Formats: sequence, C-alpha cells, structure tokens
Amino acid sequence: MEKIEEKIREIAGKLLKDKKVKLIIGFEKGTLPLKARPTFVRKPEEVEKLIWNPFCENNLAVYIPFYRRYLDNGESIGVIAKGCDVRSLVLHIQENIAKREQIFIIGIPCEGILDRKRIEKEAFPGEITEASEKDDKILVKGNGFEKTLKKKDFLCEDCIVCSHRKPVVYDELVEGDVKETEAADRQNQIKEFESKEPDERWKIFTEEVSRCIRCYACRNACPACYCKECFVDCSKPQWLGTTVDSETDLQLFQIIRTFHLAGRCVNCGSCNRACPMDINISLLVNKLSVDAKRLFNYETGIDVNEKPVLNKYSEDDSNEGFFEEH
Amino acid sequence: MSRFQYPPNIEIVRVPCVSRVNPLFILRSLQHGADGVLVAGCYPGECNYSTGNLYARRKLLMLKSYLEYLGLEKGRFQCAWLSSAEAERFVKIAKATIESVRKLGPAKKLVRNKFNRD
Amino acid sequence: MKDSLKSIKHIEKDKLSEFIKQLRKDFTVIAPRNVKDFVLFQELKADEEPYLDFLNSRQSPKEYFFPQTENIVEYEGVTDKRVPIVTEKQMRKRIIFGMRPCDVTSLSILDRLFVNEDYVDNYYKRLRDNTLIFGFGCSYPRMTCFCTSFDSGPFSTKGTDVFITDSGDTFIIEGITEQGKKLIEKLLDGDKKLLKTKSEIEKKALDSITTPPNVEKIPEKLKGLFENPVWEVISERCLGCGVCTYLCPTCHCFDIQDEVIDNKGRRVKNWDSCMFPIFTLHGSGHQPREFRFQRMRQRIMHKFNYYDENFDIIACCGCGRCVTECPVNIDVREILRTISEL
Repeated sequence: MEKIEEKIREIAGKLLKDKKVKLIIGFEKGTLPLKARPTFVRKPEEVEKLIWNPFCENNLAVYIPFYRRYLDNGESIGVIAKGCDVRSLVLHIQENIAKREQIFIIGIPCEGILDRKRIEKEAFPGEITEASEKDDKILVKGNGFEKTLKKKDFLCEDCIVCSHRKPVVYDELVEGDVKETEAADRQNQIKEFESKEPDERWKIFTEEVSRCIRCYACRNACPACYCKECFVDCSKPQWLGTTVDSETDLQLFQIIRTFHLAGRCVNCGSCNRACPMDINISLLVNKLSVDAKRLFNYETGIDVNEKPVLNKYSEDDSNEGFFEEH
Repeated sequence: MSRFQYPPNIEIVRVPCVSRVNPLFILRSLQHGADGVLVAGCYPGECNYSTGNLYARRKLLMLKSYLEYLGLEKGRFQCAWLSSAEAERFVKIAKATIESVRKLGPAKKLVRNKFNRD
Repeated sequence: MKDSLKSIKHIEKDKLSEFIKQLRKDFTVIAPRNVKDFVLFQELKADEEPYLDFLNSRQSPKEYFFPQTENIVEYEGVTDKRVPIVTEKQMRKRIIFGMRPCDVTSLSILDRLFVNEDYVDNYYKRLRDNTLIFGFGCSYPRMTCFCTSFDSGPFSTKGTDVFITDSGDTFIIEGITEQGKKLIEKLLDGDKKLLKTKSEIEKKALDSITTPPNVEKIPEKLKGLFENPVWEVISERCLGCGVCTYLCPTCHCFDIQDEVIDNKGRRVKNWDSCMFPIFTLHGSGHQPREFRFQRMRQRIMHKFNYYDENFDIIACCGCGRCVTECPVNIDVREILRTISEL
C-alpha cells in the first residue's frame, strides 16, 4: 500500500509541477475509521495528503461532469482511478462529456474494495472506533472488542466478480500485482434469483426497494447519472410521484433509474455503498450488465472509440421475445 | 384498419417511429392501469427513417428482459414487428396479445390504484 | 428528595415485554426494531420486543411528527355536485419508546418553528400532542456524537415523559412529567442507589464525548461569511444527494404536491431537500443556487445562523447521522471547526 501511495504522490506532484493538469482528484484520509474520502489537489505541495487503501470506495469519475468549466476551457483533469473508475471515465469519453486528452488517468490495479457496512456489522450493535490494515488482514477495535478479519472475506460483492481490476486505459499505471478474477462470473450472482418464480422475484424486489426513502444518494453517487434534468425532477410530464407511501412509485423509480444505466453501468457498487437504507441495488443492475454481454457481446467502458451499446445497432441483433407466428 | 375488425380494448398511441417509444411510456402505462402494453414497429430494414427501429430493438430487448427478470409476468409487455400495410397481421397480433393478457388477469404489479401502502 | 425518589422505578430486563404489553393496551408503541442489522423506529407488532441494544437508529424518529409523506387533504368519490373530503380518523395516542436525547432535543427545535405564537402547523401539533416520549440514555455515545454542544447530553431528560437508563440487568425508569409518572406507577420502586448508578453511567458517557465542537460563537461568526471562498472548499466533495437532510432530525423543508387517481385525490406534503437540483428552481427556469457550494452554504447558514436568528436556537442536535452516512464523508464537525477558525 505504501509503495502505491508513494508512486501516486510522485506522479501527481510531477503532473502539477509541470502544469499538465489543473486539478487531480484522489483520496485522502477520512474522519471515520473505515473511510477514505475524495479530495482535490491543485498544488504540488498538497499531494502529501493523497492515500490509497482498500477503503477508497467512491467512484471518482462521478466528479468529471461537475468540472465542465475546466473542460470547456481546454484544461485537463487528473484522476486517480481504480479498475471500475477507469471504465466510468471511458464511458464519459464515449459519451462526449470529456475528451480523452483532457483526462489524465492515473490507473491503480485494484484488489477490491472492502465492504465497510459488512465490517461494521461485525461490531453491531456496537461501533468500530479504530481500524487498520496489514497485508491481507484488517484489525478492528471497538468498545470492549477487538477482531482480526481476513480482507478477502469482506470484499464488496461487486469486487468479487470484477472483470477488470487492471485499468483498461491509462496515462500512467501504478505498478501493483493484481490478478484478474478467473472467469468473473456475474451471471452466477443472478442465477439464483432467476431460478425463482416471477411472483417470488417481484416480492423480493418489492421488499428490497420498499425501504427506499428517495434520498437519491444512489443517483448522485453514480458516475453515469449526470443528466441536467433527472426524470424524477421533470414536471412536464411528471413521470412518477414523489411520495414514499406509494409502493409502485418506489418500484418505478428504481426500475427506471437503473434502466437508464443499461449498458452504461460498470458495476462499481458505489450506489450500494451510498444507500443509507442498505438496499441491494446490485440485484437490479447486475442483470443489465449480463444482458449487454449476452445479447450484444458488450462490456461497458473498454474502448474509448467505441459507442455505448444502445447508441449502435447490428442488423443481426436478436429478436428474442418478439412476437412470433404460431 | 383496412376495415378489418379489431378488438375494442386496445388503445392505440401513434408515434412517428418505434424509436420514439421511451421506456417511461411503457412503465407509465402499466402504472396507470394498462393490463398490457404492445409495442409494434416496422420490420428491421424497412424503417421509414432507415435505422430507427434498429436502435429501438436493442432498447426494447433490454427492457423486456429486465422487466421479466424482476418478475413482471411474461406477456404484459409485448413487442412485435409489423408493416403498416399488414392490416390482417395487425389484427392477428392484437387478438393474440389481448388473449394472452386476458389469461394473465388484471394487472396487479406496478398498477397504482390507491394512495397509501397498507 | 423523597418526592423525586417517588418517581424512580425500575424493572428487570426480562419483565420489559410485559410492561410494553400493558402500554400497548392504550397506546401504539413505536420502538427501535432491528432491520437488516441497522435500527429503525417502527411500530411494534403484537408481542414484539423493542431492540434496545443499539447506539442510535439509522433514521431519526422525526417521521412520526413530521412524516415524510403526509396527506394534507384527501377527497374521494367526486360527483358533479360534491367533492367529499375524507375526514381524519381519530388518532390513537402513541408512545415513542427508546428515543435518544439528541432526537428529543430535535423535537424542541422543531417545536419553535411549527408551533409558535405566529403560526401553528396543525398537522405537526396533532402528532406532537398525541405522543408521549420514553427517552433512553446513551451509555455508549458514538464517536460521531456531539449532543453536548447543544445544551443536551447522553442522559438529558429534557423533553421526555419518562426516561430509561440501561444499568446492566435492569432498566432504571424515571417519571419526568405527570403523564409519564402515571404510566410507570405500578412498576417496582427505586432507591437512591439506582440514582447513583445512573449518574455513574452518565459520567462515563459524558467522558467519552471527547471533542465536541464549540458552537457558541458560530451563529455570530457566520454572519460575515456569506461571500467567503471557504464554501467552495468545504463543498467540493459534496455529491448533492439528500442523505444528510433526510437523516437529520431537525431538517424540515417540505414540498406540496397534488395527486389524482380517477375520482379520488389528495394534496400531499413530502420531505424536500435543499440539496436537490430543483430546490429553489424558479418557474422562469432561473436557479439561484446552481452550484453545490451555494447549497452547502445554504444548509450550514440555515442550521447555524438563520434558524438561530429566528428562533434563538441552533437547528442541530449533534446526533452525528450526517457524519456517519454521508457517502463522501463530509463532516459537519470539521466544517464548524473550520468556520470558527476563520
């Protein structure tokens, strides 16, 4: 970890000294034990606060649409990006939010992010007051307890089936030894759900989203959700109600927001981590990634010159489910 | 439709091209009382705007697969390729869709008919 | 001394469910429940025990006084001559069981806005008048708690009707108001020793809140800071979601909408958030608070300056939920310290 941090600071310092970028987005230490948080450095002396550890859970690509004023001026932005973040940046480039030359990607091969909420549950109903990592273990301390946990037991679900731990595109790659997960099988994650009867699936889905409080943390934490006017804020027409006592409005919100990510979601898991009610949004979006692969052999955010999957077509596309003569 | 009779419980919403169909239209219809939604477009290769239906195909494929994955009954949301000259085929599709939706019964999922949850 | 001793009771932990059962005869009991390893305040079902072994709930019980979705008026069965209004059902009295002092403080903060000499919000008042509060002491304040900055503390009984302290194998129960004392009449009497135990637990809890920010000078300080560039620095990380506002026990912005289904309709009041993009969006399309730093500035100024100027109290109770749940770890204590050092 320290080697990676040193390298990050070295690269970032050089970039800022040479004035190659206006701003670098990275991570710094948070004010809570299991948290690293996004930070913004503009001067070479500020790079000392940049860190890297398995608590760096946010997808930093989410900030790119906020810096239109830099990008429109021709400035460049540096991003310290792990595997999934890089793919989100590629998505932004594919969708013309930024030009490739304007995003300086400092790629970090990622071994997976730790699921902070699951670790906190080890202390439930108490809280964790101190956490530190060493090699493949995490040591957590709380009020009257101390536990050593194995990192690999507490990786985020999305990280376990991550298909691109190594950044697919980068300007500088921070060396690190990371193995791609063998035949990352996201399909398996949804197989169990798909094997259930439709009514049961609907029931599980409804129960999961019934906790939703429409805080829109999922939407705002998602790098692919950057519409100037979100469909929930549109009043002409108003597509769905804004109350939380309507089961169908909650279902509709989740269905539509996630469907807007069809072929655009990189399965980084930021939505899951941002949700204050611990809703398992992966249950929904995993299907979209699996379908994009299955129907169109497409993976999000791999090639900057490619178009997003729903922005193109093939004459040989499947007609699955279309009306068939009997 | 070329003076063929087709069932009265189909409400037709005209769009210039099937690619105009926003997934929100389909979900809003289901929320506001439609027991089923049928999306019909020109055959691939015969689009009036040359490629609209090819883009729409991908969108509708993903939407259909997604809704059925979540548990919406197969048959509530149907897609069909149809030429504007094929009145007979339209009637056939309309009747078949209505039959399958009737078998499923009135819409229970996604329909909004009361204000407060129990 | 004797009088205050009269209102001290205690109950063995395994007898609690019996007591709750008695309460449920006349009241709806809303208590902490374990929902997927985090705690929410919800209505207790028959024979269900409250889950009291927790630090604080994910969401505050504010929704029981200021619901996230509340019908202002509802009608059903429109004819061409009448619009029949649905009359409100008689409300059953409720007890919020296990409410922490920070959340109780938040109610006294909201009271000044919703029930004052110029204006009374009848919806809030009705819920407030029909609810009794069984406060619960925080033996283990969280790292993020700072209730002591706001004239409160982990064992503050202000605003409660009954106050409960967990002393290991028993609950020490104090009657604070007359209504509260009546409800605990039949419980076992307490004694001076119990009071001493409580004050020991209280001291330990107070000692664990090591660095609460000092907010005394903050309202005055903020007066001159509207144009200060510090807001852009503080808010650069903010995503603009609504988590802090929705989990906050004192945030109270709302939006009113009309909904119609066939021949029934309602006017409904929903929570709104100053962080949402259409908050303060004018009908003309102009948005005075287009940037995140303007929204962050609005939030902090509202809670720590405007509210204090209008109602003589800071609109924060130090529960720390915004700190633990913010996806990008924006820490209001850090912001307060930055401001006080400017």
